[in-house]
Amino acid sequence: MSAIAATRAAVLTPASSLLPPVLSGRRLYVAGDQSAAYQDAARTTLASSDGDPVGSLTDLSGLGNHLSQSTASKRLTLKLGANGLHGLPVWRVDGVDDALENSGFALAQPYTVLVVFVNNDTDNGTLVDSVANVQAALYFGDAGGSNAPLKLASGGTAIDAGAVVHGVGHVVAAVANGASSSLWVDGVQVATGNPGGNGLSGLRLGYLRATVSANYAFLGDIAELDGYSRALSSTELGQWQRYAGRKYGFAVS
Amino acid sequence: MASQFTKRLIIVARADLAAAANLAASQADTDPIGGDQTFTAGLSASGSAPAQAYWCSWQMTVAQALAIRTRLRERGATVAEVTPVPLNGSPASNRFAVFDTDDGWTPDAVVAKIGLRPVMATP
Repeated sequence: MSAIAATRAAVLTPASSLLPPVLSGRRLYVAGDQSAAYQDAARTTLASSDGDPVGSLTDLSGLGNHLSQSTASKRLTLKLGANGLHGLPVWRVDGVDDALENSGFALAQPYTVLVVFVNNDTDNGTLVDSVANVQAALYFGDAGGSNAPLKLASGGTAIDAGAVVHGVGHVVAAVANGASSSLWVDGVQVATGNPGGNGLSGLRLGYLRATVSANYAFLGDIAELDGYSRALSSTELGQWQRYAGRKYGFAVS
Repeated sequence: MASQFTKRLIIVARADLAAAANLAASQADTDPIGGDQTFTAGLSASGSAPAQAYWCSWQMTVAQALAIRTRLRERGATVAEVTPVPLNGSPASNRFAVFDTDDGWTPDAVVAKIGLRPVMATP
């Protein structure tokens, strides 16, 4: 394909038709424009209007790792069109107690999790956590009123990606792989280290693990979550993040 | 088609009344399961355990908004305690308080008003 033809194809391809690269080891994939969202945990009533609660999301990995929430007040909210991200659907998390989860989901290290999101807070919040009371969290730490730092903790000292600008879309990739772990933001590797060896024992999106009455509730929008049972290579991570940037309209290196 | 879920109430229940609030939530929710876990996010003055109150932020239909207030009344709340707090007003008591986001309330504004903070645990 010529450069002109490629440019034309890129311009003419609707963002909603873009799909992530096909990579081996996928264990879970949900996307606002691809996954069926339901108002209830039993997946009986579709969430189709802006403002509808999202009580479950259909996993597109083919493994049936759907996410759900049985408590009505903790369901996410579907946001569409101009309320979404680059015109694409997102799930809004309220910063109080919203979360979707799959208690049977398990990912031992090494694993990779990628999330497309907008953080609407300058304070702490959890993107992904383990349902069981095992430390394995991709989260924002306290910022004291500025942009919150993104961290990955897996039973040891969290590795810190530094502050991530709130209020705009980002793609983050977390590779949990012992001493070879890394965090990527918008296509750039921003941290490496050893956050510990814990895997995900169950998965919760948007809220801290089941510690009684603990918070770290995420306030913002989530557009996609993709999980793999291996450490993706830097080439693969780059492919995925460039896909996200092109689809959601933010710059990715 | 417009969503029927047009209301969002932020509701706070004192810790010793959380069980009653959860029962009220269960009875107000059209979904038969899960309501008993509505009030599990803790609040305290220090931000540390134990929780002095529990809260929820619930996107709901107008009918559900009426139902939860009715059910709280049946569990001992007064009319004043289930009447949404005006944006510049204060809760009628520290037992139950209802805040309507249509009035301009946000979670941050609510915790600032009642002088409590989310209970934190380090991830």
